[in-house]
Amino acid sequence: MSKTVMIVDDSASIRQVVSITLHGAGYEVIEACDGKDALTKLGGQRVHLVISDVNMPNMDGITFVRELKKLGSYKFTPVIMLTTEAADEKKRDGQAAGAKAWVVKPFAPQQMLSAVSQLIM
Amino acid sequence: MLYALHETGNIGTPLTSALLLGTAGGGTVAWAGGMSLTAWLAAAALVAAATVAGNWARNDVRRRCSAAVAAARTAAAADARAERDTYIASLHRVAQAALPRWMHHIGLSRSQTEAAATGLTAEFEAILARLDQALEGSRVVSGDGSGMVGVIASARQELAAMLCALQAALAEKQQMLQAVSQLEAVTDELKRMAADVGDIAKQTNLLALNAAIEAARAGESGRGFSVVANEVRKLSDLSGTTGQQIRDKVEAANATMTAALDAATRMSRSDQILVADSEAAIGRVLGSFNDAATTLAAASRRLEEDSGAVRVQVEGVIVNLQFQDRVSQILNAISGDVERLETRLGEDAGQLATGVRPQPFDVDGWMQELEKTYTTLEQHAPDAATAAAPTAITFF
Repeated sequence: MSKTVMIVDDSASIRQVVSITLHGAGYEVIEACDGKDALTKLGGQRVHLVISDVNMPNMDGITFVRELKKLGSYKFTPVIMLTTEAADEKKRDGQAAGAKAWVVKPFAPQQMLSAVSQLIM
Repeated sequence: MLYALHETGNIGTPLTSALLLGTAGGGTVAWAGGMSLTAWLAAAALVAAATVAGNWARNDVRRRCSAAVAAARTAAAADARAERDTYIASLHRVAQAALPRWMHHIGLSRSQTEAAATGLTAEFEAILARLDQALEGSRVVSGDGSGMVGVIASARQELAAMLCALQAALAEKQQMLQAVSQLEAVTDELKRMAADVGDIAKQTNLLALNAAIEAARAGESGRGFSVVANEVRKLSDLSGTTGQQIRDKVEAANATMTAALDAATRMSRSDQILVADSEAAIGRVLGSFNDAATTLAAASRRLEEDSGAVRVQVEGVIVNLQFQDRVSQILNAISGDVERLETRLGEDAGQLATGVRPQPFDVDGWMQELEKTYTTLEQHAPDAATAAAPTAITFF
């Protein structure tokens, strides 16, 4: 049974690139355009990993991860932050919110796949 | 005129005129009075009066000049203020008209770049999918299992099995021929036995003849014996005939068997030649198939290698398409700052309209606010003109 990954990003092209990368490796992908949309689309369904942007309208990525971790079903779901932000302060915010890894855009597909497989186990 | 007079420094003209008039008047009085003391006093008085009048006139001119200069300066300052206000008002109007358009155009650029990048990504995804399909098709055709190579291997096995069956049939036929050829020895034995029977019959006949002679020599007493001898001779004749018949039959059977054996041997040789020819033909066909399969497999390998290289390049293009997100975020920061400037200029215009002087811009504070909206490394480092490359992942 294939694993499911959710990509949360307000950029359609980034969602598309991540989807292509993950589909190619046999993952199922759910797309959401911001944190609020992601929480709505999750709706209790099984997701093995979440990849989220930081700067998004409606609900930013850090807030989204905090809200995600409050939900029992997703408390232990690993999260990768995928963003243009590279400042250590931002990374600390992501870690404090509950993210497991920080990827600065642009990402290399093989690198992303390696991180995903490492975190999903 | 007075202003011009003041400006040119020609202020002494009224005084000189008064002095000239007073001197001329005094001289005239003195000359008319016959150069008397009274005349000289009157002339002096006229000169003094002329001097006083000249001084008053000069001071009056100075006062008028100063007033004119002050009025001119006030007017110039008012003109300058009016020009500045006009300029500021036009600047506000330009800002209020242009800034929303700038934001709109930035938004258009973002959306068009996003649409183009999304379209390109989809196109490249389709290319990757077609590449995978082509590779899969190539693997099916030339694959080791169910592909051309597999079909050839399967055909080789089936043909080899068929050749084995033919060779086995030939071997059985050879064994049968050998068994049949062994029957020749048996028929020879039968022929010898038939000959023996003939010899025995001859000997018996000879013996019966001797017995008949001896019976005749014995006379009447040997008559019975003569009958017996006669019967024995008949039997020996019969045995000789039967022996001959047996020999004839055996020879006929032997001739038929030899002919059949010769025919079977010739057929066996033909079969062997046929099987050898079939084996050679099958070998040639399989060799051709193998050559074709090898060529196909090599082409398939090259296709796979080339496809792998194309896949890597397409993935590189997809990585590069991520530039759109960075550009979008940089444009977003610019758009936000333009909006902030528009808001500020609108507020300032409102204040100016009500006669309130707006506060000057805090440039450092403004720039700090702008920098808070930066989301990429290149925004923080203006010298970094090149696009960012993928970096190592940070694991927490």
